[in-house]
Amino acid sequence: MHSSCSPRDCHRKKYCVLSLQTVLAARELRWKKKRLLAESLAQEFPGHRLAYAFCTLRMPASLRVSSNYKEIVVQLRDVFARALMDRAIPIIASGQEQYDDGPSAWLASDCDERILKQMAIAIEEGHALGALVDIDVTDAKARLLSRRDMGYAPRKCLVCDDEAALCSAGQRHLLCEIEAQIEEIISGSMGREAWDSYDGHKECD
Amino acid sequence: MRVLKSVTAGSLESSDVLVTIMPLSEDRIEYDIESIVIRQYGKRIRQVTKDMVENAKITGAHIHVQDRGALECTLRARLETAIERSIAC
Repeated sequence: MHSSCSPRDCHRKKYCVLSLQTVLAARELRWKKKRLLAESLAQEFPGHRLAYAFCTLRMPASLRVSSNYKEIVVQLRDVFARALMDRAIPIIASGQEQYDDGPSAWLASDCDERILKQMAIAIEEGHALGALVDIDVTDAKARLLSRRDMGYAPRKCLVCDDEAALCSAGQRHLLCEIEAQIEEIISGSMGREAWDSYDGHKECD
Repeated sequence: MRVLKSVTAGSLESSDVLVTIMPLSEDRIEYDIESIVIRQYGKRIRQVTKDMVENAKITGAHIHVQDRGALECTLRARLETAIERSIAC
């Protein structure tokens, strides 16, 4: 499933090293901006049922800041936008930002947040690059919807078949091992249909 | 040291933790720990949280930890920030 690499391989490679403070500050800033965005659009569009999708890279911060993967979040956000347009679901606003720990792209839609979450999961699971992004969905008050809330199984790790949160919390994989798997996913996505199994209409009906 | 105000530190992004501290009228500490990896790391998260709160010697607080698979260093940093914010004038 993935190429093997040793700690020595990892040490030979030079990765960008971000301090814990940088990563934590960026996460908190993004979190605050999500809430401010929700407050601001709620005032601007009263009476609309707003929901938000925020797309970030699903990989360690050292890789998230690499320019190699920067475009993926915008690409997947645009895929999401097209899927919404196909269903005639209005998009109220969208944007993208670069944080100290990596890129982020988002959209706001006039839509039930549960539908938006189902579509996000369909992209994460069905798009050829879906495994490389986290698409967080929040409701009009910036409350996060989890896979568990929706009755879905937790996401799997990029490298092995275990639960991603367990591998991440336990730091089970080497950085170069994760990078090799990311590169494999990107190579695999080239020259073939980006969608494997995504059928947005089916997911949301 | 008495907790003066409701504060948060962190986020609910993947691999992060949101720590919320709210003042209580009584001199006790309440803990509310949630985690997506509670079965595997729940005991450790509770232990680290209790240790840090006890070391900071704060009283009269409800501590709500919402963990999204954070590393221990992340949990410690978020707790430290939340505690500092809760006692700052």
